[in-house]
Amino acid sequence: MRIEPDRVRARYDDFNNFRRGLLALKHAHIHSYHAFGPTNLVDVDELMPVRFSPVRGFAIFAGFIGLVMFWVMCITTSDIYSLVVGGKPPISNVPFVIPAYEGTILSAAVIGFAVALVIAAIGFHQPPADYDPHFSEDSYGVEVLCRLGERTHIMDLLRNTGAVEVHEV
Amino acid sequence: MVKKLANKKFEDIDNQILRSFSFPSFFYIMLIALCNLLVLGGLIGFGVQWALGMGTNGLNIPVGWAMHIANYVFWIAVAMSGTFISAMLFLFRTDWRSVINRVAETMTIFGIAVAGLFPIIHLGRNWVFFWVLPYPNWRHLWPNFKSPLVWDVLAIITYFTISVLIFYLGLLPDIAAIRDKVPKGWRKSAYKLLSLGWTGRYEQWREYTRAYLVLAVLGMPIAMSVHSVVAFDFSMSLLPGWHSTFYAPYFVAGAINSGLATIVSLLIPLRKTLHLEKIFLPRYFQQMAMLMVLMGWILGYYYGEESFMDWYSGNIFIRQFSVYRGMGSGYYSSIFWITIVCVVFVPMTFLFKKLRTNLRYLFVAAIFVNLGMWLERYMLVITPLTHGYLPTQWGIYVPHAPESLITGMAIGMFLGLFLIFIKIFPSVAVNDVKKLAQEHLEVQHEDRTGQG
Repeated sequence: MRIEPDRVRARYDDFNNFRRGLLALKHAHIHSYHAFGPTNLVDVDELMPVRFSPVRGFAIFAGFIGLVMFWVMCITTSDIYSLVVGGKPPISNVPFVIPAYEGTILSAAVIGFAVALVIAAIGFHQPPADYDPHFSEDSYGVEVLCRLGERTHIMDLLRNTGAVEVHEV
Repeated sequence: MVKKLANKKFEDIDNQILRSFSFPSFFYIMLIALCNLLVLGGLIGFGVQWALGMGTNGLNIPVGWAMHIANYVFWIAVAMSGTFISAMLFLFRTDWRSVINRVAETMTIFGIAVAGLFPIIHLGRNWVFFWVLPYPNWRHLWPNFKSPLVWDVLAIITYFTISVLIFYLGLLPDIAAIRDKVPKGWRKSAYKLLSLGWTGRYEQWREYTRAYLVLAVLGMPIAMSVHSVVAFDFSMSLLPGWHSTFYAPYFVAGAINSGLATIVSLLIPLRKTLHLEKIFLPRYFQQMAMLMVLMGWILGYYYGEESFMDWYSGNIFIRQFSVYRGMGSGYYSSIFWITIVCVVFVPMTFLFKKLRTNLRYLFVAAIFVNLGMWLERYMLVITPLTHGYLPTQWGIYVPHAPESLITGMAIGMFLGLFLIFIKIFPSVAVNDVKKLAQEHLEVQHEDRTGQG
């Protein structure tokens, strides 16, 4: 039988204390924790275990694909429907810069957004049952996955950094 | 100012912004009724145009493009500037962006929705509007990708998509905050669905930040391109008054100006009616007023440059057109000068601190700037068509009732959609304002402890 690790959750009503809590976890070499907050948590980036996000890479790749696709679409279209406009040859690349430019940006934006949703695991699902609504309102939170025998130590550590509430989940 | 925001608790911010969700006031209901009336009038106008044809609009040779196209350009400009201003302020890390970004982005969405109607209304045979889309069909019709009109469709679709993504992404944490605040019922279920399960986890904020950055970086060039492409609709033709190389930046500058004026004229009543005085600080309006001064100067330069280039070109037709447009004998010269006064001289009054700090004055002046911007589009679209190369191409256009009613419908639709929006979603980015308050608190803390 697989034993779920214990989870400890701390709630902070002050951002500085919340940051201190994360710093304490980092210094204690604890790497399995999550942070929650009602404001953007970009300021605690360096205190989090995983900071990498592939969104920009996917967006650049999708932009390149969009560029090629839209350019090819223009050329193919002009090849099939060879309409001569203003004396220009049917396949004249200069005017195709604009559809290709739009296609690049459109593809990059849509794929970038979709990848962000998938990676952040935001979908059409509900928040988990143990979700604390304070984290969208007025409090910051830290949730730590504890190994055997670590729980009391972690709870003390979080309390000492100014958590207003520490409890098991 | 720092003190004001820093002393606000997150809960106070929530309560203050979400106060707009309360039962609508009598004034709000009256405004909605007025908007409905305008939309109804526009529908009647559209019905007349549908039944009797485009001739009822005063459209005839030589003027084939008139008020519908002027309206289209005006609303696209309003739409363009919303996401552009929001993205620009985001990339420059401007703190007051968090206060105006929601209104700016909302303005974009509704601006495009309104603008998108005009080409369809203008088509004449509106019921076959889908012929412009690239889809396999037995008539062998296919978009010509060398045409500025097709570029326009592509640019607007792209811009609309990006604007919706930026708008929705920014709204996600706020929808989650409302979801957690409203009592159980259909509203909670709706917000639950729209919040996509947002819990405020670091991983969500991380992806949110990266995606927002990507969208803001992409939003700036696409906003520039969308109005540049609208400018190409005119400047790619050979008509005196339209055929010009500087139309694209000229249109973009005009769009930013009308966008700023629209934001100011939406925010000032919003601040008053929703009692958001502690969030919409006078300093922000002053900064927007100074931006309008800058845009007024840029546009003044373009008006001057346009006339100078008309003279410098040495082309007799273009010189003659310039005289016709701006000098006393021209049928439309009064519009030219009213535009100059509203767009260039009215913003110059903001250089006086007493005037730019007076919000009532700022509101009225912003309306005049927008009036000027609308007249500019009217002048740009119509005047060259009334005065082509040959006297046989000359004519006069006077607006008729159907198109005037449809113009009113656009205003009613835009305002009505905005009024409905502020009753359903927060009109200010709650999470950004909280972040601003938190940063101000940190500044205070550092000042007190002598750090930083």
